Amino acid sequence: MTAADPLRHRLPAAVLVLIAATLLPILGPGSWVNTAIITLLFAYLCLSWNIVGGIAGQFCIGHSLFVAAGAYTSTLLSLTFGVTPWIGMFAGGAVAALMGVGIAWLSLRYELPPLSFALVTLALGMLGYLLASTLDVLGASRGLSLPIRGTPAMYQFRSDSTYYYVILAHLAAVLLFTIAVYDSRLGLYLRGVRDNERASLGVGIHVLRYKMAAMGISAFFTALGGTFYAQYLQFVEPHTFAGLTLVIEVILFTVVGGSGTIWGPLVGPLLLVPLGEALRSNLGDQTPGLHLFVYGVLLVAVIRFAPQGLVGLAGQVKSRIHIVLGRVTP
Amino acid sequence: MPIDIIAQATVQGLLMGAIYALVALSMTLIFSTCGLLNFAHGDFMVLSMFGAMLLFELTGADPYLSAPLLFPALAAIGALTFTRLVRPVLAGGHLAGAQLTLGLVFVQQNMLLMLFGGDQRSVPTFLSNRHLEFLGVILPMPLVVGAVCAVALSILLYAMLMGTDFGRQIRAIAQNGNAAALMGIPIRRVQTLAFALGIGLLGITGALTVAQFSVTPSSGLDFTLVALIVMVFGGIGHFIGSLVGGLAIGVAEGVGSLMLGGTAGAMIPYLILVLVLLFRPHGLLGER
Repeated sequence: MTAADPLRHRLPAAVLVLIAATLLPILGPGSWVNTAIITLLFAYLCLSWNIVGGIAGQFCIGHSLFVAAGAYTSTLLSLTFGVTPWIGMFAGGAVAALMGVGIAWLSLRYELPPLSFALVTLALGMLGYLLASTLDVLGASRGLSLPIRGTPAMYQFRSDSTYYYVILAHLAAVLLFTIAVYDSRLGLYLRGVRDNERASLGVGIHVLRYKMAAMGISAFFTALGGTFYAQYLQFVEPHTFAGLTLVIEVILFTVVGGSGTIWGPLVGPLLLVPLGEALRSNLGDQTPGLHLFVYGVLLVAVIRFAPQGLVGLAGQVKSRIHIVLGRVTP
Repeated sequence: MPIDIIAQATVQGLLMGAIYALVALSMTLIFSTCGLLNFAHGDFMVLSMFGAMLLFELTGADPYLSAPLLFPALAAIGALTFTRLVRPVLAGGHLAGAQLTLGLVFVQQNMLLMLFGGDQRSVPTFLSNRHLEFLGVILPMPLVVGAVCAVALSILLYAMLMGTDFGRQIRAIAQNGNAAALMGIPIRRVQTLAFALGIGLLGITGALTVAQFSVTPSSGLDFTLVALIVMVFGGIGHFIGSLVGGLAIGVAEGVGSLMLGGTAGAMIPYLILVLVLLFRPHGLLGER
C-alpha cells in the first residue's frame, strides 16, 4: 500500500464490506440477525476504542464509563423528560466526550510510569461500576427499564433487522471516520505520539492535546454504542453496561484483529463474536465459560506468535508470497 | 457507632491488609524485575486455592499441609509461564505483556469454571469455626493465621532482598536493568527466578487463606485489583510502602464498608488509587 493516496485504496474495500453487510438480513437465516447485531456492535465498539487505544496507543481500560454514559444519559433523558434517544444519544456522547477529555487531561499531564494510564482508567471504570450499582437515580443494581413504545421516533423498532441497519450505519460512520483520519494530519500526529512520544514533542506536536482529542473522540463514539445497546436490550443495568467484562472483551477482540490498524478492530470481532456465540449456544450448557476460554487462548496465541494481530499476520504472509514469487513490493 | 465495633473492623482490616500486602509484594517483585504488569496475578492465587481444594477433596489433606506443596507447584507454573510466554512477548514492550496477562485471566478463570463450575465453595481447615478473643475483639482463627504467616513471609522476603546475593541482583535489576546486565548479572536467570518466586508465594498465600475467602473462579481479578492498588499506593517497587499500603487499604476497606455500607466501602480503595496516581504518582512514601 503506497502512501500516495491511501484513501483511494481503502475506501472501495470499506464500501464493498458495508454493501455486503446490508444484504445479510435479507439473505441469512433469521436466527442469525441477533448474533449479527451483537457482532456489529462489538465491531463498532472495537473501532471506537481503537482510536485512543490503538492508533494513539493509550491503553484505556475505562471505556465502560463511556458505554454507561451513553446508555444511562439517553435512558434517563427518555424516562424523565421524554426526550427521544435520537437526541439523547448525542447528549450521552457529549457527556462521555467531556469525561474522556477530563480523564485524559488529569492522568496524562505528567510523565507517569508506564501503564499508569491503564491503571487510572481501570480504577475509574471500577468506580463507575460501583457508583452505577449504588445510586438510586441510576436504578442501582436493579437497573432501568425502558417503556415499550415501539415507535421509530423513540429509537424502538418492531423488527430486529431494523436494529441491524442502525448499528450498521454506526459502524459505517466510525469506519469511514477511521479511514479518513488515519493518514490525515490528526492520524499522523496520533501515531507519532504512540510510536515515539519524545520525538513527537521534539518536532512540536502538542502531545497532551492530541491524546485528549483521541480520548474525547473515542469516548463520543463509544457512548453512541452504549445508547444503541440500551435501546436494543430495552434495559440498562450496571453489570452489562458499566462492568469491566465488556471493555476487556472489546480490547481482546481489537488486539486479536490487530490493534492500531484500520481493519484489525473490524476483523477481530467479525471472527470472534460469531465463534463465541456458536460455542456458547452449542456447548454452553455442558461447559460454561468455554467461549471465553477460547477467546483467552486465542489472545495469548496471537500476542505470542503474531503480535501485530491477524491483520499484521496477513500482511506478513502477503509479502512473503510476493518475495517467493519474485515480486518484491516496496 | 460503638467503639468496640470500630475496633473490631480495624483489627480485622489490619489482618486482611497483611494478606493484601503479601500479594502486592509478590506483584511488586515481578513488576520491578520483569517489567510486567500482571493482570493475572490474582488468578494464580485462585489457582492455588483450587489446588488446595482439590488436594483436600482427593486426599483429605488440610490446606495448611498443602501450602508447602503448592509453593513449588505454582513456582514451576510461574517459571514456565515466564520463559514460554511472557519473556518473548515482553521484548515487544510493556503493553504487549499486560495484554498477554489479560488473555491469561480469561484462560485461567474459564478453565477453572469449566473444571469446577461457578458455585462458591469453601474449604475447611482444622481451624475453621475457631475464634480468637483479644481485648473484646473476636477474630476468626484462619484470618489470624493467614495474616501472621503473611507477615512472616514478608519479613523473609525482605531479608532475602536485603541480605543475599540473589536479593541484591533483584534490586540491581529493578534499579537499572541495563547497568545490571553490564555488571555481569545474569538478567534472564534472575528474572525467571524472581517470577517463579512471586508466583510461588501466591501458591502459599492461596493455600493459607483458602479458609478465609470463598473460592470461586472469578475472584482472581478482585485480588489483582487490590494488589495493584496497594502496589501503587505504597510506591511501585517500594517494599515498606507496600506493607504500609496493604495495612492501610485493609483498614480503609474494613472500616469504610462498616461506616458506609458494602458498595460504598468497596469504592474507597479505587478512590484512593485514583487520587494517589493523579497527585502522588510515585506513591505516598515514594520519592517525588
